[in-house]
Amino acid sequence: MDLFSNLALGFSVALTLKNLFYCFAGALFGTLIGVLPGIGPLATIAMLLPITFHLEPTGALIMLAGIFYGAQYGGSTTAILVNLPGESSSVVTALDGYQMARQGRAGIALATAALASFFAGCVATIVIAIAAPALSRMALLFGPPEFTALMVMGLIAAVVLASGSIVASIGMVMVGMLLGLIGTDVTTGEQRFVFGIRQIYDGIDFVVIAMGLFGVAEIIANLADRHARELPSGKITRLMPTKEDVIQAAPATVRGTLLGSILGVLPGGGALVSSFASYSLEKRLAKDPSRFGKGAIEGVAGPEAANNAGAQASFIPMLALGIPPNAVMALMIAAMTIHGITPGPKFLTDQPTLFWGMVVSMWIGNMILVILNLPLVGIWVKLLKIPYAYLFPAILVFCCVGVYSINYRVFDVFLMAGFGVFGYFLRRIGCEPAPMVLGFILGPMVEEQFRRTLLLSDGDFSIFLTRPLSAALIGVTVALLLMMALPSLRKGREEAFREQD
Amino acid sequence: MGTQQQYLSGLFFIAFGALAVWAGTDLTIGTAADMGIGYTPRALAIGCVAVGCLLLVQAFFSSPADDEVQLSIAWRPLLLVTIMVIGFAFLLPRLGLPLTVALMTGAAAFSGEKFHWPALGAIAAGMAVLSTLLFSTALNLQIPVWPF
Repeated sequence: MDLFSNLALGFSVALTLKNLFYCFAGALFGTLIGVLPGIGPLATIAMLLPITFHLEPTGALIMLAGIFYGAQYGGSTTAILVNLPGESSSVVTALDGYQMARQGRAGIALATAALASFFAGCVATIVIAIAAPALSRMALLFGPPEFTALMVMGLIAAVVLASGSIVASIGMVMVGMLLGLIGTDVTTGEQRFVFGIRQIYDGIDFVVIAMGLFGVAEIIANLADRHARELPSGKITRLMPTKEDVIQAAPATVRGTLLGSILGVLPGGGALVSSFASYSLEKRLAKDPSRFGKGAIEGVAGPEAANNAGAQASFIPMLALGIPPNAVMALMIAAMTIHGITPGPKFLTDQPTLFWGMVVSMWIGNMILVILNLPLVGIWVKLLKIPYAYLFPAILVFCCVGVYSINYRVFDVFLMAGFGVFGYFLRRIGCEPAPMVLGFILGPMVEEQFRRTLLLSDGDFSIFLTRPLSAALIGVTVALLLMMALPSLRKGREEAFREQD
Repeated sequence: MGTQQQYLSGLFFIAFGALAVWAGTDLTIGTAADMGIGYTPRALAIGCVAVGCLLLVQAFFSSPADDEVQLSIAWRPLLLVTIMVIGFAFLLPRLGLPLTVALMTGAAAFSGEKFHWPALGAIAAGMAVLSTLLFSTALNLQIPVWPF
């Protein structure tokens, strides 16, 4: 079968000593930075991007993927040990994980999270191997109207599935798209919104924006919110779950994995939605829902499996269509572009070694994470005890050097400072910056396809509705928006995200 | 009446949209069939203004709890972190990486976080050496190291 020969090809790439090392290093650094409070996967990848600059593309991609799930995993560790989710997708892990830690079951919670994530990672890897080629074959049928409709649907879905005001999030998407249009227009070669600043003639670098909004602004917010930080208490003694724990956790893990694999592929989906959905599902299925929030092991296993499966499944639309379903994948696209790789329908067929090597290395990376995390948990705990006064300048140095080394110019660092202030301000007025980042990457892509579509139809907007595929996508988008206008569903959405508080 | 945040977010979108309309006045709009480079930006800018207006209307008709009405800005971290980043950009070409990093780390003393001088000094020195070894020696990034 094709799948097996492809996977064999992947193994031959991923199992070379060099690539194993990159995978290991990526997972290690990713966890190391991801464990630090307040630094999510987005900021972690952005910070560690310069490390990959000098590698060849395969190694760089393997390492970036390693950094990504390392960071994802590191977030869960912080959530369990200090009730401080490193990223929004481990918010629900903190609910029951931290309670388990307080009952002296921190080790078991960590092991459950690690094993559930590993199981989910194995399944998600297979899902990617099957779904990505299928999706990219389908994408070959897409013309400009379909791509436009698909991206608009993705943006709207991202807004609906995120927390916060929908209207403000749509606004943030548009602000991001406008920022994305800064610089020289690809089609005409004319410049837009450059205000005579030479350094932005090629547009603003994505890493500068991501690092400003998610690195610098996050540090400011963390410093402002001092009492939120707690130190991990007690020693971690027992790691292995009991038989009873396993019986409770296993079905939740399987359900979480399925949920994550499905939700991760959807535009706007990914780790965040998956973990919230899984938590609600487990709570609903439980015989005694009142156990949740008091250290229920299913509340750790389910969401952890779901967020890992979701995080990995979100690679599918990114790799197969070249369309990022969420902000982290947008950064991955930016990172791949730096290495001269353009993800999209042709990526799989043109660069099979790269694609399959990456897929297989994800599976290996997940295994490395389990091996790495369970014995090393003591080190992560120590890391969490470092006072923030010593930690934040170090993080800031990484951010600055990272941004500086993209183009070797200090202008980008100044710009990052600006986006840091901007990001902090946005957060204070209740506008989440994540949709903006997605809009930033998708802005120029949407414009290009939109322009082509209307060129094709000679300015007739009805082309979006007369082509069946694009009409279906537009239909889904409108349905999503209408659903949010219904009071009952809006309430449901608010409730689903209430777990955060 | 809504919260300060709601009004500010509404005003922000209106201001941003208006700025984009103003900055894009010279760009050719064109027609749908033959779009100029100003077409999409103008549409997005108008969208921003519309979102802003909608948020203001929403704010006007909402009734928030009392404790969330005031907008609070943590000025000290905001200023300190911004100064640290700008300081890095300003000093790096002049002092080189190790000195810049040491100064930047030392600036953490003003953060209001608990710290001890000897520890902070040691960390500043350690960060200076380690960052130079990592970025310049190991990763071979073209970063100025020595002051000149």
